[in-house]
Amino acid sequence: MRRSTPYIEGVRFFIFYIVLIGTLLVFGLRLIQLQVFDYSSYVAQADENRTREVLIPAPRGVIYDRNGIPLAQNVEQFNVTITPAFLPFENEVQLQQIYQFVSEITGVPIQTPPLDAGEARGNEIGIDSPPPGIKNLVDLQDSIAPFTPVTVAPDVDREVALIIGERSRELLGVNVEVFPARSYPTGTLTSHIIGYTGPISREQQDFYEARGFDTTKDRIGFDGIEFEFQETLAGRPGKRIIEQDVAGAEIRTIDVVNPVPGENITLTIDIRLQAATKAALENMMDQENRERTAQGKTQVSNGVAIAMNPKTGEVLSMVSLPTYDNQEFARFIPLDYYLELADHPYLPLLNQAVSGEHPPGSVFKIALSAGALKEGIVSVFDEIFDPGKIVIRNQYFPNDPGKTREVVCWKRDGHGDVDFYTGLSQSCDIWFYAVGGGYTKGGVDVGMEIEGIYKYATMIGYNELTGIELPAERSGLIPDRDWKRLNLGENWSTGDTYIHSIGQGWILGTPIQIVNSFAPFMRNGDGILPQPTLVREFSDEEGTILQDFEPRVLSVVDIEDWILEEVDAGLRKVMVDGTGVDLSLYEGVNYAGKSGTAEYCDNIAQSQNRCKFGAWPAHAWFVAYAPWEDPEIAVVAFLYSGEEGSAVAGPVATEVINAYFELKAIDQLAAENAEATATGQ
Amino acid sequence: MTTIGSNLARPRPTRTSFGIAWGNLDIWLLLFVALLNIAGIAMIRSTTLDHPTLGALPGSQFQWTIVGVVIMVMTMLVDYRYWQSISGILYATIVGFLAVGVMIGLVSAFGSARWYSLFGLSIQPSEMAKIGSLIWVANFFSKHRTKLDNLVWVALSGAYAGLPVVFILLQPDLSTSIVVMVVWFSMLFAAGLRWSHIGLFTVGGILLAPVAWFSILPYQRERVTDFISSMTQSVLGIEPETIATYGSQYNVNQALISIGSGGWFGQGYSEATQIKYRFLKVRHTDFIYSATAAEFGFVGAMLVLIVLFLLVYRVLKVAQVAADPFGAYICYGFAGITFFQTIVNVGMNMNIMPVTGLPFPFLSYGGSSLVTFFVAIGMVQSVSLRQNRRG
Repeated sequence: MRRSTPYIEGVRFFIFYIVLIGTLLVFGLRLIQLQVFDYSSYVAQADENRTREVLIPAPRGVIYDRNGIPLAQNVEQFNVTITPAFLPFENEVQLQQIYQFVSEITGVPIQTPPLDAGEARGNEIGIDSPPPGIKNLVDLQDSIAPFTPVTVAPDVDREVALIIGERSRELLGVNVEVFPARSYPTGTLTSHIIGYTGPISREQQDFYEARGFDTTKDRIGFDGIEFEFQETLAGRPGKRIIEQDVAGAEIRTIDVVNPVPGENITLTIDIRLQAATKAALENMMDQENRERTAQGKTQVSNGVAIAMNPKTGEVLSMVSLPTYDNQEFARFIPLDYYLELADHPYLPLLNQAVSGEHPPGSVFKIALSAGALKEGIVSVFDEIFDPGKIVIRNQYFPNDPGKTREVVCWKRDGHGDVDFYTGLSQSCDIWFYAVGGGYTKGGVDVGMEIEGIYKYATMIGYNELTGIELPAERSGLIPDRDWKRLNLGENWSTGDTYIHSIGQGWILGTPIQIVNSFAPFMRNGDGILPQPTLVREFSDEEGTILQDFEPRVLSVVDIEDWILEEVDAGLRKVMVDGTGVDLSLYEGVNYAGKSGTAEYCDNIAQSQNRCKFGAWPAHAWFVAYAPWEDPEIAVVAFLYSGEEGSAVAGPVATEVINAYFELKAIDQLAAENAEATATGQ
Repeated sequence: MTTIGSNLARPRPTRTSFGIAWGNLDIWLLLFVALLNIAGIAMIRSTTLDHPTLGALPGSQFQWTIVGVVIMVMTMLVDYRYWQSISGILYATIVGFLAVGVMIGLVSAFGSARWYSLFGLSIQPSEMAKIGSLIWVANFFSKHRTKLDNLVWVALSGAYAGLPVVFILLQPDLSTSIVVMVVWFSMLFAAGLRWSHIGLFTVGGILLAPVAWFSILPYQRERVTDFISSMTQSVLGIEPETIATYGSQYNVNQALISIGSGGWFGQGYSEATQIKYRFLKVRHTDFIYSATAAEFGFVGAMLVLIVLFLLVYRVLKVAQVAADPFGAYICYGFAGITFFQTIVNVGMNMNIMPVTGLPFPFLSYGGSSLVTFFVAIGMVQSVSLRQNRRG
């Protein structure tokens, strides 16, 4: 028996039912939208939530010298970390004990008070503020990612790391993280070659993140080989993809991508010769500067010495002074030390061997010697009379009456009759003026002109980068007529040609270019301009050689062999009775070489008001190579403001060569002894 | 008129005990409650698995279920009309408790004064107010339903139902206040609020909306606009500019990811990564529906909704056969709050309604809410058992 009239109108039920069905429909559609249409997007988001990539650092390649002595290697850096999730927060006494212990052993305060604004000066608030204490760091990390360790004391001593490791059972949550750091055992001796590493900058962040690096921890090459071979040395970091919960606790490893370790690099440098080179240069600079201090003269501010195998282009030693200590930069870049270097007037951070551009002076003259013979301007038997000074006409265009001007030889009395060999060995300026700019009285009607000088200078490597594996290499400068018009707004004059004939004027060369420019003339050199290189081979972790050394060639000079031989003979004469006759040499070895004293007037000299006509300051250059019959080593020495090539740069160059032969003798003796021992057994 | 399920499970009542025709017991209603309750305990277990502190919650929910079932049986044995007779005393007592609670709260300087501790038992007067309001508002309308043509009586009913709400609001407990007002409005609608008045309220509401907009505080306004923009973005599939990493918007984002990653059939019981790795927050209470959708997919999520709506339907059926207006209104009012809590909770889970703390009936963890719903079910059964039709 059913009531026909309920107490609630039927329509009011009906509306409720409609709303129920409508709601079910709306929710159903929304569920379809979320679970069917947007399914893959939400699954991706859920996966992003639960997975995390943990980077596995790749060991950076070690850099060795040619005999396997490490110049840059990896050492362990110990960081003390705390994982807040594992700290005994429930036991206040134990927690305090842990804080106390870690604080005492590492020297990091437990808690630093909030910054007292009263002690802050101006906007230097960051300098005065104390670094955060252990508890501050832990509390912050606990609120962000309690399962991720936070570093409370970076780079602690090995002993501290060991003590913490021993007591790890009591020190809940405290850990020692081992992180690879760089070490440069040879320090200042090889700073300019090896360079150093530093943090990844904001601009590079995306680039390195895409390559899987941890941009907060990994370091990249900043200078030298470390910079040039960043990719090769760094390898590729690997990663572990892990499953995590919301607090970041690791649940399991899903996937592992193994790191690709960086390749080891063996350099062409012989660290013993490097040391000898540095000692020779340093001694000469010290000696010169002591005398100059006494006389109140300008200091020799910079010096470069490079030893190279002229047949292969292998650089055996390379020193640029003053230098810096890259070991200071091994773990972090100390700001005060860096600023001290960056602000130093002698630019110790700059590797002058490849970045220093200086007028070469007389070491440039080989370009004219070769060019004069090749162009048929003189023969080796022609003699030009050198009265000490000649009068030339400075013309800015053909038929310009011009002004006459005197140019002098460095030897004011003159060299008398000068042939090709004497011109080179005595470095007779008049001879080179004549072949360069023409000297009718001396029998040279038309010289090589700037076009000829340009042609032969660039042929032996001037005005071009050598491509040595170092950053910031400069190309030097060989001017031509266009260069002068573009840069100085003036026509090339005949006077310019004369000045440039002796390697001065606007000509600039780098030490590496200059030592390399001698290689084509040497016996068995075959006219080859080698590619100077610092790298012998690449090898993997196990020492397997990945890429062996293969000498490379920049170019082959377009000069006949007999001309090369004549120049080589002239360079030998330098050491026999020329400007290099007084140098002490390794017994039983014949040397050849060329001195250079290049007058200069750069911004430094100008600011010191030293550019006085007739008494300009001069750089000292010397290039020497030996044995003359089959050269194995060529050395350039350069001393900024050294004044006298043969007397100041010469001894440095020959001393390096002497050291080379001494080392060679030692090696030979050692090899013989080893052989004798081997056969004796 | 025969409707689905109405006569199927109802055998002819042949036996009576306690003077009750047990044939009128709504078996379907009990079945739906049981389904939701079991699903709830299972989901609470899944969402708190291996958790150091929450791991005990499934057991606790089970204990509350036993308490709830016992109270439900007791409630259905009691003739619901008994409550009508003590409606006034109940009203006075609970309003008194609420008022005293607010006073103590004001004096003790603790923000919230929701709990009374009595003989070691925690009593939440606002929870009691939910059941209480079912009784006294139903009583009010059963007595004055003929006068509802008069707007004054409509307003009076609002004032009567609203007085406890003032104290509940002061606690402050917004969600309970809203639930009590929903009880009032459901019953008002059931009791025959005139269509013209409904139209009047609608127009008035639209006209007052701007006034309300400018009278709320800027941060509240911001919350409203934030919700609207977030909802539009998620419904229209627009990528948000910023992704919240904490707070209620984070929770809603994680809820959407949980629901969405469930797909058609879900990732499996206690297998959903969003749940087992705890990316979804408050997953055993407010967001238990998302957890269900993640583990059982579209099928599971729809099933839970359908069961709940069938439950509401069964309650409404009881309202239709009630012996008197008081019983009918109790059932209609209870159907109203059950439905309202569900859409608010599920809407929040799906980011089509703002975040509020209303739990999903029978599914969400929470002892007092569960017991309240069991008491209400007991009352509905009491109405069903005492319907006019004899078996």
